[in-house]
Amino acid sequence: MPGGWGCVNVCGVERVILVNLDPVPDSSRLSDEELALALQGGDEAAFDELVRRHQGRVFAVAYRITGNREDALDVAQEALMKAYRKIDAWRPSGGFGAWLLRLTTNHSIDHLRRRKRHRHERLDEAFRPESGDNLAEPVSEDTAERVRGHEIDGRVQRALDVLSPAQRTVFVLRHYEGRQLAEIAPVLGCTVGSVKVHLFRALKKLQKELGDLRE
Amino acid sequence: MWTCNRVRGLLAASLYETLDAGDQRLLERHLGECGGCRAEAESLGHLVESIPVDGVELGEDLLPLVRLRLDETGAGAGGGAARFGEARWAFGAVAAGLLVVLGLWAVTLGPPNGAPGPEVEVAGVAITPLEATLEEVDGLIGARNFTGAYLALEEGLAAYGDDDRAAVALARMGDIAYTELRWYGQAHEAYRRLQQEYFGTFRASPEHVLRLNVLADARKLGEDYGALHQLDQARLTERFEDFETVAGRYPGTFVASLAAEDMARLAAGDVLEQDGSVERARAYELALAQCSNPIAAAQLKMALGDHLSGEGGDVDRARTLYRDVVESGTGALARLAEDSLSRLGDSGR
Repeated sequence: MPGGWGCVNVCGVERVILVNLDPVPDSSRLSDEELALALQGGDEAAFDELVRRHQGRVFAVAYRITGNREDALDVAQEALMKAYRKIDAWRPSGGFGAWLLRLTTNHSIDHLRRRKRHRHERLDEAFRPESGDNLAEPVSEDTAERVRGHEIDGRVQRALDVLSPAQRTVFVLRHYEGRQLAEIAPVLGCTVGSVKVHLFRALKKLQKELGDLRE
Repeated sequence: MWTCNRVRGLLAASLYETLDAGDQRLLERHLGECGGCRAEAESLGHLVESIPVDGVELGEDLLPLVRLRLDETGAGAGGGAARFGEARWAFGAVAAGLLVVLGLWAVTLGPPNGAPGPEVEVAGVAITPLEATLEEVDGLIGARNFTGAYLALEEGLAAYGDDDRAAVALARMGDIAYTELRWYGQAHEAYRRLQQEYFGTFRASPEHVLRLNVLADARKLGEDYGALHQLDQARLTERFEDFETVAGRYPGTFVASLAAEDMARLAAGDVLEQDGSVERARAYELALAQCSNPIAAAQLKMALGDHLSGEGGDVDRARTLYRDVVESGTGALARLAEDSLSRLGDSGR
């Protein structure tokens, strides 16, 4: 029964009585592109659904690139706000997720470049093994495995610090987000060949920092 | 032979993706010849495997803060989510009142099995399920929840397709999909159903007839209704040249004729402000004077010709314009112009 109605039969004709007050239909089955089109038309609820769907990924990308939870939260909010303000610039021919990823990545890189950090402030508290604050930790169930995973992730995140913004972005999008190199090129505004070179240089630098990771 | 420097990018890419056949052969050949790069490939491969790809938890909902910041900067829709929430509660209050009234009515009913029941004083309003849906949809549209409104109509029609108000619900579903959501596939389907199942209702609305034609045209141009989306983009930028591009790209289509209308509207805009009124013909003339795309110009001439041969009342000028379009040789438009000349009793030659 849609919308929470009940029906009674009155003189052979079905009449409705309302039995609950929650008539709002479920928009979760709509595609991102349908929601984005609706948002272009002014549908506020569509934006809410898009945020719910994408905020986790937006935060993850921002976190991997900025290396800091507070910065990542800021960047994630800014990217989502920009998506709202600039939704008219999105073209239906392109995927909404890829467009949002570009916004997030650009914001993250801008943030990285603006940020002036002293060496001792590079480390995010969450990646200190002794930190009691589980601000941003790898998802893992077994405690010992979780601690080990936390340590590795901390080392990797510190190692990412030595990469240039472009190298870091390519590595994060390829390694963590699973994006194809051909998808990453337009995000950075460069050729696929350049993306491959960035990836190689990122891996070489990470190798210097993390060469003993498997030991 | 490829040098080590040149294959580095391929080497890195091969750790994550399948290379195309040509690149794969190049890489394999080089690795077969170069021990250094072979060792590098193995080493980097181990590194990639050893870096876990565990997810990072957000741990909180960003939506309330995003909404707050949007409202603070004035970019939000005056607290869209909050306003929507208020609308929902307002709707809920109305619904609660209706529930009480109808509930009282329901419990005073006699048996529905054909035996005449006692006369009851009807205290409330009996509405069909789709009437309730349409009321709900009004509330959702007021809260700018167009997706919710569309889905409510879709669900209502699926459950109560035989309801008296089905035609109205279907028409509204098409209208919301077309004007608010720009879900042109869904709008096309809704108007098509309206035409097939409720022809009287369909035919009574020139707007629905036009939209179905526009959608059918756009669908022929591309499954994604890209031509219509391009027109939408032009309507967002409100730039003459953007409409020109659409008209020039899809000549002889309903989409192009809509773009031509927008060109005339834009061209006449300044004059409208000064004079207070501009004849339609003059608006098209002004657009023609401004237009630099020959195909878009031919589209404008067709539109002007159609106007002048009808309510514009200048058939001679219309013939001249149609002949211009025929002579311009613009494919579909030229054929349309020839048809129009035939209609006016002119061979066009």
